[in-house]
Amino acid sequence: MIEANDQPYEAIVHAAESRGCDLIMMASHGRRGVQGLLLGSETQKVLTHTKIPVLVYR
Amino acid sequence: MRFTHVLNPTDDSELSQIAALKGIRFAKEANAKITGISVTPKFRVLTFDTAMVEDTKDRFLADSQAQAEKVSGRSQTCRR
Repeated sequence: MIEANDQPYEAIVHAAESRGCDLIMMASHGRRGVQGLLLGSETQKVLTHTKIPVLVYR
Repeated sequence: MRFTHVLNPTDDSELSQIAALKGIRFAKEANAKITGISVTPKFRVLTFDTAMVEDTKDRFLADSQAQAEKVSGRSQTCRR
């Protein structure tokens, strides 16, 4: 699915919760790459905004 | 712990594409359904030339669709 949203974490969390997903699996970093951060910004936001378990692939 | 439905967000980065493949394999082993999601920024354009704008939004959506399909093989477009 494709969603249009300026806040990717919002669309991701909404999609997961509305579809009854019990796991979110995503990369630790995206486009901007590993810049010495443990987690990319959108992955961090997803983790902060949902109670659904998140599996982070590094 | 049993997972029944995995959501797999991706962008066009290499790492997220690898994570998507791993996610598919994981879902298969767990006997779970997997849904891919690709989030694009909202379409906005600044122009004084209105004729230029007509096709641009459709092309933007078509390009986004093609990009998502490259990773997932099948996608569904939602607009909010």
